[in-house]
Amino acid sequence: MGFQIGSALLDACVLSILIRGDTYGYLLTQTIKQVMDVSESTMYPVLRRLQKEDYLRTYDQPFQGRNRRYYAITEEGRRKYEMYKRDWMIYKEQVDSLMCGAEEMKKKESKAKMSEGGGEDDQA
Amino acid sequence: MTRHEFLNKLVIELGRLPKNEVENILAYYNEYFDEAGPENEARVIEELGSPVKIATQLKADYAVKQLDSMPQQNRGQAGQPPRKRIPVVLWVILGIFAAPVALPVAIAAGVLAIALFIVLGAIILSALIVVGAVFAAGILCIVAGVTALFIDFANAMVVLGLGLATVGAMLILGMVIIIGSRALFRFIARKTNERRQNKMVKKQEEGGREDE
Repeated sequence: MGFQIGSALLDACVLSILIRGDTYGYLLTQTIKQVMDVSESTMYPVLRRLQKEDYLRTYDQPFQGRNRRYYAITEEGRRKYEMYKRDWMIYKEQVDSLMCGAEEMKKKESKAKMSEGGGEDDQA
Repeated sequence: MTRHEFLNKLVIELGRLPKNEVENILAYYNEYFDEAGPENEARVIEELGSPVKIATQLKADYAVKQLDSMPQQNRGQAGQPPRKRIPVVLWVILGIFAAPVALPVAIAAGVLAIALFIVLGAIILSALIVVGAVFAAGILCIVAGVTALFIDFANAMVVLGLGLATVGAMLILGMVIIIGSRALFRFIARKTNERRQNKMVKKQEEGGREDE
């Protein structure tokens, strides 16, 4: 993907995965990787940051004779997620109107010109 | 690079981060390897990238976090300190109780290490002195050979040759001793460092398996 993924966006994505249910590091990374191109090593700092800010907590569960560390969202995390979601909607709309709105405007313009009578040939 | 090498490198690179921080990071990557399964080890290592880079990023992250939390600590001093101060007190008490046993043992170990070091140094020094003495003898032979050149040519040549050969051999031997001892000390320093780090990695790897 051609876009730089900022830490806020990553935080938001991790929280929205956790809001669907608890999960562990490897699965979390793989899920994120399906959507965006992040390197494996970026996930640990993200998880740590979220934990430090009390948006998620961890607990260990034995799995096949070893420990698996699960990540669970907290109440604070849920609130943060709602905030991120709202911000994202607004942001998305704005970017959409910039990127896709321009195309629509062009289409309208050219339509208007065509109907005016295309004798002037300055489109080429 | 194997998983073990990767984790080892990571620990070395993380260096002076707090111990529990390093342990958390190790636990995370250990689990990651476990989840991916041994058959994917090489792929995971490739995807994770260089341990140096990961460590640099984590260290930078940590430094920033510390800067961030500093004003907060000043602000909220009433609510926060107990959690951090109690362990320190406990450690001090524990330390005092352990002192009668731990202190002599630690002193003995330290003295032993220093003694070994001195012995090693003495051996190297005496070897150098022997080499130096023989070297001086060689120089004397050369001088004697040159002065005797006009009295008894054949014998003088023998002495001169002997002197030159001795000087040459001692130069080489001296150099070998110096280079060798330097390499030895460096090796010892590295080994002790590595052992410390290895211990940490081992502990982590076993720690994950204990809960069976």
